[in-house]
Amino acid sequence: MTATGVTVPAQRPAPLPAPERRGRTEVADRVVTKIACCAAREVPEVREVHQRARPWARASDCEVHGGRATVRLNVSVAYPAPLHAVAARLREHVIRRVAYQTGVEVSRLDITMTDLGGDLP
Amino acid sequence: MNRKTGRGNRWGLGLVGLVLTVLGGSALARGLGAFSQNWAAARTTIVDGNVTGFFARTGPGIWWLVALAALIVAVLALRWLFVQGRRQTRRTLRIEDGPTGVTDVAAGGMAQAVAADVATGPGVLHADANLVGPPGRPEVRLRVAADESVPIGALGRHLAEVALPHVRDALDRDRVPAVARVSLEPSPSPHRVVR
Repeated sequence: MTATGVTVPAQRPAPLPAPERRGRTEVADRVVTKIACCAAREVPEVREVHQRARPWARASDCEVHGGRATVRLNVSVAYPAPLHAVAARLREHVIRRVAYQTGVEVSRLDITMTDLGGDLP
Repeated sequence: MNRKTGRGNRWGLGLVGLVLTVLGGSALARGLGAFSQNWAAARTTIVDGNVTGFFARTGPGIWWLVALAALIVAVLALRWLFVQGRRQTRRTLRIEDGPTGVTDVAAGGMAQAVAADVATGPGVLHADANLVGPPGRPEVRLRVAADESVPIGALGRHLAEVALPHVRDALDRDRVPAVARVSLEPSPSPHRVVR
């Protein structure tokens, strides 16, 4: 018996993953910093967010590692606002807003209130 | 200069004063012949043959000891000099330290806000504030220049009922000790308008 040519059907390519799972999205530190600063400005008692470094204070910044971020914010707060409550509200709002917009989880948010003043909203 | 430095200064000055008094008193006593005349006769120089003989006998090693003592004195003097600049003022006030992050308040910023708040009081010409004390127990130091024609009670009430409650509210503490130093000054002369 002689071997006859056997036609092997072409192998089907492996199915592609769902479109939303193709590729990797990385969110840069700068983007998270900017979103965090914008979110911080939305808290009524926060009068200003210092995004850039000043001679007497570090810049607001952020480090993203594997979907988790450490954020540092320098803010001006109205006086006399209860600072603990303002910090708690700021933390909660910024963490929620960053998670919503980038999917990055803020694991730590350090707040420095560099100056106080101005009237309460 | 803070309180600790001030205490150190008093002790240091007291000690130096004591040493100098003892030395001066001894020299005076020697001049007046209070010591045994065989050992330290009056009307002889202090650095006499005995002293130079002692240095000559012990050899060059003694000069190393003298140099070491001088070095120690110099280091202590320098340390004293640097310590004069030590302030009790805090740079930041940590109001929160949790797993989700820390919250710091710049003491200078807080002090400015307190000073601005105090300055709105009746008859206040100028106000200055400082935050001092250990991390967990901040204290407020105020220097207020007030108009002497305005009753001081009104200023006291403003501090007790407005400015200090604001500090307590801001720091969320039931008690924030405060010391206010008020100086009374003549009321500023009204500006003359020349038409």
